[in-house]
Amino acid sequence: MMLSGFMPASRSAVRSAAVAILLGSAGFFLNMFELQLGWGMHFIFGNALIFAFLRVLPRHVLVAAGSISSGWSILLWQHPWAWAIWTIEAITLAAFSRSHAPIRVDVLFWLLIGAPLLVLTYGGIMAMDGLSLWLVIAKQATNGVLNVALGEIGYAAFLSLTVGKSKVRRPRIPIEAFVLTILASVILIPTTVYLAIDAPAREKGARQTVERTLDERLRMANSSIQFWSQSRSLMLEAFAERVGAGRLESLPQVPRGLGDFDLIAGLDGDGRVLWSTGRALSTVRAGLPWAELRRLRTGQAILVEYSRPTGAGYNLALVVALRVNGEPRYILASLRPDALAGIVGLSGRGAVDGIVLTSPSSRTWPIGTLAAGPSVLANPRVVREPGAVLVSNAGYGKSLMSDLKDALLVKSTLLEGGAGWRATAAAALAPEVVKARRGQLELFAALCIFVVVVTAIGAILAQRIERSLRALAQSAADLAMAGTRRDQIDSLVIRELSEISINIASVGSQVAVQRGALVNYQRRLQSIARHAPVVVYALEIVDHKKGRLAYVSEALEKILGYSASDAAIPGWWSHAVHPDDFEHCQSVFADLRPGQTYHAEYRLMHKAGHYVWVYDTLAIEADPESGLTEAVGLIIDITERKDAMAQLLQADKMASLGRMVAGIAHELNQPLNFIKLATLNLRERVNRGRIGADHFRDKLENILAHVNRASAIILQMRVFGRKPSEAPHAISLEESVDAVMIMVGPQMAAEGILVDRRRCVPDVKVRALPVLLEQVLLNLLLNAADAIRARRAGADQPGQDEDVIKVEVQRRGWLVVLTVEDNGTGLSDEVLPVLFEPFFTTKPPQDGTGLGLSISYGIVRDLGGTIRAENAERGARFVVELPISGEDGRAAA
Amino acid sequence: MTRDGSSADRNCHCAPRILLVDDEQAILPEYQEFLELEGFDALTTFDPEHAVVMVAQDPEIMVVVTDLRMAKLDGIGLIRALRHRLPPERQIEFIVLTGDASSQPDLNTLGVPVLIKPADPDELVRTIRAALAS
Repeated sequence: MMLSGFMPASRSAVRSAAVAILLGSAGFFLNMFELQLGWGMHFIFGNALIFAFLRVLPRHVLVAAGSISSGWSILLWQHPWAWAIWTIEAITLAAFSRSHAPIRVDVLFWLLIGAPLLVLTYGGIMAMDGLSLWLVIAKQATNGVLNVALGEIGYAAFLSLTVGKSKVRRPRIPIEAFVLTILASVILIPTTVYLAIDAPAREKGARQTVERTLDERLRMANSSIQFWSQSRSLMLEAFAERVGAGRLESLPQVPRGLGDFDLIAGLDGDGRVLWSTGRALSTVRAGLPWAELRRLRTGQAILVEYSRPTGAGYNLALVVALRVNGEPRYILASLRPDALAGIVGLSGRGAVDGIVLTSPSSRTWPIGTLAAGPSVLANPRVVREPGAVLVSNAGYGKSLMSDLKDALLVKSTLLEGGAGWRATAAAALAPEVVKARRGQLELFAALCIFVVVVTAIGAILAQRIERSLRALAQSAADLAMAGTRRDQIDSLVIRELSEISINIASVGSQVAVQRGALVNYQRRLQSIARHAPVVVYALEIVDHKKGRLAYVSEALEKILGYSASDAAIPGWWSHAVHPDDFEHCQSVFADLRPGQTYHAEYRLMHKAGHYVWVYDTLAIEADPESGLTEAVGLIIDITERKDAMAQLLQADKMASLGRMVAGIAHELNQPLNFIKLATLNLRERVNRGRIGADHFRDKLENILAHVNRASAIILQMRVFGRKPSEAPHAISLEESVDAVMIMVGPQMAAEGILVDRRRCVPDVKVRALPVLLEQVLLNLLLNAADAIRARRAGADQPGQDEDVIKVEVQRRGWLVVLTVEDNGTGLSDEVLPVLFEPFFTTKPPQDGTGLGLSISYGIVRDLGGTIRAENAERGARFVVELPISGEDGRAAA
Repeated sequence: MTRDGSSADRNCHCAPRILLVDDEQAILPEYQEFLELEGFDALTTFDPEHAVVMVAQDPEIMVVVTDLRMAKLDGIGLIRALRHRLPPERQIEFIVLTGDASSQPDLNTLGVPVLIKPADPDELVRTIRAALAS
């Protein structure tokens, strides 16, 4: 049981270990492809591979793999510190990368942990100097951050390649991490490439600088030695001649000019001493390079080393070849031990310093202050190499650590005519390296600062982006949820906003639609104005009176023959109005007030000269913006209506006359009957001859009176029956009632119908055609009489009531009110609403046309009045209201 | 035509007494004069109700000539009233004078002669004589 329970965990651990080793090895291998940045500085990228799996591998696997991968640095630099710090970096990243952006974690790691650890290990334990330490810190940190960035890019690439293909849901890269990665990569990758190009160039430059100084020194040394040997050989030759070549006379002293030498001796071809200064030498054969010496031409000198006979080691000597009497002779001049410094002094520039002369037998003779021990300079590699050789006791790989403090650049050349002698110069590389590294450090420092700053800014930026994205997501979620009160408020606000925007949009579209509608409306209006038999006009209103004509439509020409320009002439309208209508028009349009509508029917003169009946209505509007008052009016041609009306009126009049025929016949018969009887009686009396003159005259007077009575009736009938030709004018309403009473009064009286008149005092006038007004009155009186007759016919006992028609004229403000009231049958509820409709009648066909009241209604309306019917106490009551005409009306007001 | 001696006839009891009713007062004297010239004893009144009283009180009245359209009581009403009130033995004849006979359809049911105004005076006299003769 326990075993089986343990098995999966064990298997998982094995798998983890395998992954760690595999990944770590891959990183280790990748580290071998280092990027040289000069003097032991490398960028290695193995850890980038490990960091690519930061989000997907378990932490311990990551740490293990990172540790294995970094192990390569131990081999490279032979110390464990870099490995240790990189392992800690891997641990840190593994620990924090899932909650924070890896770049940020890494930057913070290098700032807070990596740099102090480097100072502690490299600076403290390995005693690295400041410049190199700073450089190492900068380089390690940059390398680390770059690796993290590369790892992130690798993971992003992996994600983008596998998106949609893999069913495994892999963690996404958060916005901040992604932004930081992009920023770090954009900065670090080009900079790294630049550093990789820059560092070798700096390295090469530093070497070349040092090498140039070496060359110069070697050249100087060479030429100085040449000059010295030549000048000394000439002096030695001259000295030898003075001594007497080939003869030993005495022991000469070393002359003052040859102070470099402590011993000068003349030698024969076998090395025997012929003469010498100071102590006599038997032989100096031993140690001299005789093969070389024999090859010398006369006067030629070479530097040789020989072991002193005293046994005090080797000495340097200048040997000059001579030929005396065909025999080879040699002058050997032994240099003082300090004479080499003198050779340097010969150049007079002090530049020949740190030179080592190497004899053909590889013994070294230093000149000046040496940069390194002669053994270093005698390095066989130096002799072998034609160019400069870097000599350091620290390996190149460790040169960063040692700062190349003891690194020398060494160069060696054969001395001219030196018979295998070499001059070797060495110079410390360190000053140039330090100079170059300082430049490099500046670059790195700038880079690091840049990375830190950008990372900080990027972090802030990314956080802001993320915050706003989160807010966006939150509000989206809020919208979806709308759960809490806050959410409801938010959603309310959002809904209102959206409604407002919808409103704005709809208002916009409505405006567009209305603009379109307005254009259509304008076009339609213009079309109507052009084609309709209606003149549309606009007036300016000045001081409540008609002012300038602002506009008149084209229809004016169609109706009245005038063009718009004709109408625009001031006074046109007053001129065109029929003289009989002028007063009426003046009174109607006398006082124009805003908000009111005025209308009048009158005649206007056509351009051809005849008159046209028009209906003119004028609406007054005050424009609150401009403060002006404008009026818009319509003029309608009502001639046809007037004609039709006239025909109807005529028909109605004829009908009225028809209704009166019986009464009128009776009325006419009475006087005619009287006249007939009276004349018969007169004739009879005349025949019988018994008539007095007085009686005769009375009879004639009576006859004439009756003739007049008949004439008056006929005249009234004729007036009434005539078509009206005169214009409406102010007439007395009472007179009109009188005129009608002439026609119907006798008939009424004959039937026992009392007409009860109540006059208005003082009399008032209305503007009307007398005939039309009389027609209204006639219709009302005849109807009243008919109603009474109808009641009588239905009544059981005739003559029970007094049959009365009350005719009353009253004044009420602007109006005159005529009331005709009967005590007939009254009006039923069915009749009342349709009373004024055309062809409505309660009478049998032979008695009524049904036009009477309808026509009366039209007439009254045309006069600007109203007519209405109602039931009185007994019977019906008709009320006609008419505006009081002209001055009468204004006087009343 | 015996027109002479009409004044003598008036005084004579054999002259028949006739009542003429018409609400047109102005014409009554002319009617009276005419009938008297023709030899009748003519009485006139403009009030139909007064006419009823007159006929009832004066048994000499043998013929009543009445207008048809009158304000208080029309001719038909007058005839019906008299026929209703007078004793059956009273012999009296009626003659109607009217301007418009068509307006009174009841006229025919009365069985009285109707003359249209303005009536020919000779025909009036003839009609009166015919009535007296019956």
